[in-house]
Amino acid sequence: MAVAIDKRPLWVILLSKSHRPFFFLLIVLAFWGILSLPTPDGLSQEGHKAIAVFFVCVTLWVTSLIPLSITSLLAIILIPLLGIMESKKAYSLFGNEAVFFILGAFILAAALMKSGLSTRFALAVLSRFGGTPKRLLTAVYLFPAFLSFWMSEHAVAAMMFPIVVEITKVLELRPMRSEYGKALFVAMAWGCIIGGVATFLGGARNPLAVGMLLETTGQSIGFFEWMVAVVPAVIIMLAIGYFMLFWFFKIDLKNVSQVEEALVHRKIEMGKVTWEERLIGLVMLLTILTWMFFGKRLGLANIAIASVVVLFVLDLIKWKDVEEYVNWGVILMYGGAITLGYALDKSGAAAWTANMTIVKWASSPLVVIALFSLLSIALTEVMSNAAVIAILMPVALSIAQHLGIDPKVMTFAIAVPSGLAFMLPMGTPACAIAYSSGFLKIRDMVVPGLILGITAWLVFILVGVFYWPMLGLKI
Amino acid sequence: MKNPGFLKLELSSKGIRLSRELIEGKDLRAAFLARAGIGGGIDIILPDDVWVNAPVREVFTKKSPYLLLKDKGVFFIEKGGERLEVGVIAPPAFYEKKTSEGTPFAQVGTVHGGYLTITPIASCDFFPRFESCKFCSANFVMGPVGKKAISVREVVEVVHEAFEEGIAEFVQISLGYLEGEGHGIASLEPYISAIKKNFDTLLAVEAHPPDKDAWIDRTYAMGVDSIAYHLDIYDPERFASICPGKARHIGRDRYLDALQYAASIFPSGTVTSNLIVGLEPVESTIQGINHLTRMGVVPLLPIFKPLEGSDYGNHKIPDTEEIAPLLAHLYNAVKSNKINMNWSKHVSIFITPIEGRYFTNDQAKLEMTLYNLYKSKIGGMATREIAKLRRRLKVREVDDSFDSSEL
Ligand code: SF4
Repeated sequence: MAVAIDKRPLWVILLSKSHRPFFFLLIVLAFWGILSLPTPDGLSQEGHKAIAVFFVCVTLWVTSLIPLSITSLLAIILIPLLGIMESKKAYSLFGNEAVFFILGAFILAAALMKSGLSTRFALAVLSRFGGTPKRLLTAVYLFPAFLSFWMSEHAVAAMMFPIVVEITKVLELRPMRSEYGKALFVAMAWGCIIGGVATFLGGARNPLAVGMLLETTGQSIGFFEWMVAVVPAVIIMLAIGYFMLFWFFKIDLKNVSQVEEALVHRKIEMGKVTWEERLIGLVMLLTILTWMFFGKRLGLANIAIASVVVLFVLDLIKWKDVEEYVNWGVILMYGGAITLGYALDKSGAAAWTANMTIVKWASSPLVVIALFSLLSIALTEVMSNAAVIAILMPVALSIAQHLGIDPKVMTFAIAVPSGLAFMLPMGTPACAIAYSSGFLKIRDMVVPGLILGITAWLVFILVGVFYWPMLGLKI
Repeated sequence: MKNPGFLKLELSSKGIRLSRELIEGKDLRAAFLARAGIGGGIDIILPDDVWVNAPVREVFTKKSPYLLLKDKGVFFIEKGGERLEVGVIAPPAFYEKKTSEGTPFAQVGTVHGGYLTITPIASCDFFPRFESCKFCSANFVMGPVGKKAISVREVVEVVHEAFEEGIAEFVQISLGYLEGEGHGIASLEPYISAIKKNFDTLLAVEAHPPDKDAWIDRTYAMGVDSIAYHLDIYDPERFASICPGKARHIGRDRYLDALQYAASIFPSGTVTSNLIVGLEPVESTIQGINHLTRMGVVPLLPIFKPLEGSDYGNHKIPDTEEIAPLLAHLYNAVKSNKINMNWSKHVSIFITPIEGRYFTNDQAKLEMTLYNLYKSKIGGMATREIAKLRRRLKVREVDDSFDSSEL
C-alpha cells in the first residue's frame, strides 16, 4: 500500500474533513426536498422518486464520499424501498449478462497476470524492437496499446510499470529532469488508455454501457461489432498520440543499448515458457476468437465464464489469485448502475429529463452526439469512467430514442470517450500509475493530455460522421 | 561557568574529568556499560535546566579543565577553584540487565538526555568499501559489519525498561547507510510500528535520504515524528573528501533536496541536519545554517570530537570561542525563519537552537514561555496528541490494487 501526504495546510484539511457530515446531511435534505416537491406534469410518481434516487447517486458518485460500489448498493435498496420497482426485479437486474462478462474478463486477466505471460510478452517485444531510443519509446507506447485490446488497461499499466522503471534505472534517467524518462511513462499511459477503448476487454466500462443499452432498449453490440466500429478511431488516435509524444518530449539521449542487457537479464530470471503459460495463452486466444466470431450466438458472458471454468479444470489458476486480482467493487458498482439505469428508463424519468433538457433546444442529432461525447470526455478526467457511464447513459439513451438516433451510436458516443482521460492522475489508473513514477509533474501530463483529449474527441466525431454510416450506424 | 550555554559548549567539546571517588564508586559505574562515542558520556544538568552529555572516556578529556566531583552527596563541577552545583543523571539501572534473548540492554539502547537511542541494525555499508565518514567511529562501536540486527522484541523490551524507569521520554532510532532504494528505512518499519503500537511517545529517526521522495512520505506515515538526514559538512569539496561514501552514493544535492521535501511533509522544526562544527571554516557553516533554515530545516551543530577508532582520532578540537558566534547565528536564523524550536527537549548531546540564545543578547521571553509550555507534562501530552492527529489528517493511503481502479 502506497501512501501520499496531503500537503495542504492543516486547517484546510480539517475543514475539508469536517464538511463530510454536513455534506451527507445536505444530501439527505435535498433528497427529501426533491421527494416532497409536487410531481411535475408528464412525470409518473415512480419517475419522480427515481429522479430523487438518481440525484443522490450522482452526487455520491461525483464526490466519491463513499465508495462507488456502496453508492450502487444504495441505489439497489432505495429503488424497491421507494416503490419504484419490486425488490425481486431490482435485485435480478444485478444478474445482468454484462456483470458476469466483466467478472469472467477479470478472472482471465488475473490468470494472465499471475502466470507472468503478459510480462514475458512485454520483455520479448521491447528487446526485439527497442534498439534505438526512438524505437524503444515506440515499443513502450504501442505494445501496451495492443495488449490493452485484450486485457484491462489498468492491468497492462500495472504490469508494464516495473519494466519501464527498470529501463529508466538502467539508463540512469533522472526523475523530473529527463525528457526521455517523462516520455516513456507518458507513452505507457497513453498506449494503455487509447488501446483500452478498442474492445470490451480494455475497460469494463464498455460492457457496462452495452449492458445498460441491452436493459433499456433490448439491443446489443457484439464483441466484433464494437471492434469494427472503434478500432479505426483507435488507430488514428494512436498515430496522433505518436506524433505528439515526439513533439512534446525531446529525446535527450543517444543510446539505449544497456536496456537490451537488462531485459535479457529479466528474461533469464523468468526462465523458459512454462506449460501453464502456454495453456493460459491458448485459453485466452480461443476465448477471444470465440467472442469475436460466436459472441452473439453463444453470449459473451457465457463464453467468459466457460473459459474461467476451463482455467480451473486445468488447474491453471487458484481462487486465491482470483481474490487478489478481481475488483469486486467494480462488479457491485456495475450491477447497481444497471439497475438504476433500468429504473430511470422504465419509470419514464429518463425520457422526462431528456424532454426537459437537451431535446428542447438540440438542433440536430450530430450536435447531441458531439455534446454527449464532449461531456463524457470532460467528466471522465475528474471522476471514475464507470460513474460517467452510469450518469450519462440513461438520459442519453432516452434522448436517442426521442430524436431517432441509433442507441448504439449513443452508446459509443458515451462509452468510448469515457475511457479517454489523458490529463490528470486521477482520471484513469494508467495515468495514476505513470504519475507515481516520480518522473512527471502534473504540467507534463495536463498540457499534452488536454491537446490529445481534444484531438481524440474530434477524431471520434469525424469517424462517427464519415465511417459509421458505412457500417449502417446512423447518427 | 555562569553562562549555562557556554558551559555546555565547553563541556561537550572538552569533556570532563571524574574525581577519584566517582571513578571508584558505584554512582556512575553503569555509564561505562553503554557504547562509547557520541552520547557515551555522562549527562549533567546545568543551571536553567540545560542538559549536557560530557565525554569522560575519550583521551582528550584527560586535559579538560573541568572536574566532576561529589561532596556531601551533592555534585559539583570545579574549574580553577571555582565550584558550580549541578545535577547528574544516574545512568539507567537497566544497563545492567539483559533482554529475554540474552543481549545486555546497554548494547540495545543508550539514554542521553530525555532520549533513548537505539541502533537496531548496527551496520553501515560505507565501512566495507572504505568510504566511511572520516569523523565516524561507528565501525568501532558497531562491531562487525553485517552483525545480526537486534530483534523487534528486544527493542520493545528496552523501550519498556527505559520508560518504566522514567529515564527517557522519547525514542530515537539511528541508521547507518544501507544499500537499496529506501537506504534502510523499510527495514526500520517493523521497529517503528512496534514502538508506536506499544508506547505513547514521539519518535525521531536519523537516516540517509532515500532515492525517492515517496519514501519520505512513507517515513512520516509509518509514525516517525522527526527525521534527520545529516549533511555533516556543508562545503561541497570538503563534503566529498570527508564523507566520500555519502558523496558518491547519495550526493550532496540529494541531501538538500530530500531535506527540503521532508520539511514540506513533517511539522515545522522536526526536520534536522547536523553540521559538524570544527571540520570546515566557520563561514561555510554559516552558509549551511542559512541554506537549511531557509528551507525550514533545523541545523544542529554538534561540536567535533576526535573519536577513538575514527580516521580523525587525532584531529584538533575546535576552539569554543570560535563556535560561540555560530550558535548565536543559529538561534537568530531559526527564529527569523519562524521554525518551531520547541521540539528539542532535554537534549544533551548537542546545543539546541533555543540554547543558542545564551550567545545572544536576546532575552527570548516569548520563546522561553512557549518552550517551557512544551516541556511541561501537559505540553508533552498535547504535543503527542497533536502529532497523532496531524498524521491522521495528512496521511492518505493510495491503494494500488485492482480495487482502486474503478474501471
Ligand atoms: S554514514 Fe557516515 S557517519 Fe553514518 S555510520 Fe556510516 S560512516 Fe558513520
